[in-house]
Amino acid sequence: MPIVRVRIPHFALRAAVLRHPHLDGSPLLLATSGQDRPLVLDASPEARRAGIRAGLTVREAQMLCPIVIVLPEHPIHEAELVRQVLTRFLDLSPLVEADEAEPGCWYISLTGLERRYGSHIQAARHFLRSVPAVLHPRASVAPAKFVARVAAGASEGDAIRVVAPSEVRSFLHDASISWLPVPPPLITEMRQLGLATLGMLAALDRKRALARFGKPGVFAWELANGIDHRQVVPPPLVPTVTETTEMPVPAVSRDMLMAALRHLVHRAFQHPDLHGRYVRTVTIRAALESRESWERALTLKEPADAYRLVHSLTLRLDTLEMPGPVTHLTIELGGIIANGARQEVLPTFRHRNDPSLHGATEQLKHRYGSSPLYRIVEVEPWSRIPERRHALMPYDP
Amino acid sequence: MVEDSGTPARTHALRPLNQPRAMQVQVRNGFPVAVVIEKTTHRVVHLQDMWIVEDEWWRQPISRQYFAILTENGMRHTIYHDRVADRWYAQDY
Repeated sequence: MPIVRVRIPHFALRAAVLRHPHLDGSPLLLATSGQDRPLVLDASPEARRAGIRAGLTVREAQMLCPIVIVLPEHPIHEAELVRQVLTRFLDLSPLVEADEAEPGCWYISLTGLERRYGSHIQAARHFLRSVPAVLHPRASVAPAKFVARVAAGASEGDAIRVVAPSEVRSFLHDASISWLPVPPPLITEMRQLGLATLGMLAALDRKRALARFGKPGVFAWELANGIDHRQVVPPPLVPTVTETTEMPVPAVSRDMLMAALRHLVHRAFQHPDLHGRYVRTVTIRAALESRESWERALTLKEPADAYRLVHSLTLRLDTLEMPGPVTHLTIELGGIIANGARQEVLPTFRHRNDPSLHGATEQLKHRYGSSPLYRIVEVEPWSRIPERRHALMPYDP
Repeated sequence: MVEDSGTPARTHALRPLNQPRAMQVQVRNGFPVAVVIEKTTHRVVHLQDMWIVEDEWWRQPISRQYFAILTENGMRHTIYHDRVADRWYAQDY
């Protein structure tokens, strides 16, 4: 089963460059947004040559390279780009799988495509060309996913690295074990034991690998030996409903954002896909005036209709603070189901519902006119004034 | 059986917990030396801790000097001196 792996190295940074293509070739860095001390997430080769690396603060990076250009991260744009690339690939082949472990990487099965494009290489070239060149995509063709991963990492420029089935073991022999899709502590452990390359790991006895590293170790041993039966699994078709609105003026107040969210929720529930249905997840995305973006995904405790969703959003976003004025607001509703079953509370978490307490409360209410029972609630638990920390609230079960 | 006091139940209001309780304190050089608890005077044998809380100077100022004291009967109490009203209170902190 020939597989092509298309990889966009430094995906988030290249996605930012796609929005500002005239900056390509300049020293660039991608920085976190919405923080007092933004950090470097990634840097272009020109910036890396000046010593800039991920984890530095932007101020430190600017001291190392005063002409470096700071690009803020833009998760909405990145998500949209992923969706666009996936759509283009799915137009060419139904068997496309995004690599969850590495953003900006996809596996595509080439089975049957050689009849349409002439050869597997030609088919792979089509996939490569369907990605904007400014993203600097790389591609490889190999008989299995892991080999394709290693080969795509080694490929340079437009050249497609092809690994034939007969040369898999020799190709993997000198590759670093850091390519293995196993937990990093296992890689560290292997390194400490002197296993630096896949060839060294492959030379071990399988039983010894199992005894020393467990099941993940055997998986790694099989991959190092070119044994990889994993299939390309296309993404499940998950229906979602998305609504976007442009704010009349850049909004900073929570009230205005909630009004916009209410409007979006009610508009989304007029969509035929949501007629008489409920949602379980909601993703809120905001484009900010500063050209940055903000995103929050929420999973609801119970499937919600429009009314319940607005209520839930009001509660959850009570302390919402946007990093800047919002120009566009988008909601994506997912987990669409036909019935609104309620999530039951586990017995140990259930509120105490003692019949005798009920009876006693009724008697007290009868005697005093209202329930004289109280519940202790936190008011300002952080207060330095002790009497302001807790209060008694009327309790009437 | 508890008798009905006749006081209407104020179920509509939030009632603060741990309200300070006024108490009599004998003081020497600004430090408590004895406290009156249930009409009995207890000598302070050890001053375990003390701290000051200053707050809300922009409206009704709060200025309290708290003392964690150990009395001769072995009881530990937290009391404070309200420096605005010059009164003494007991209050768990």
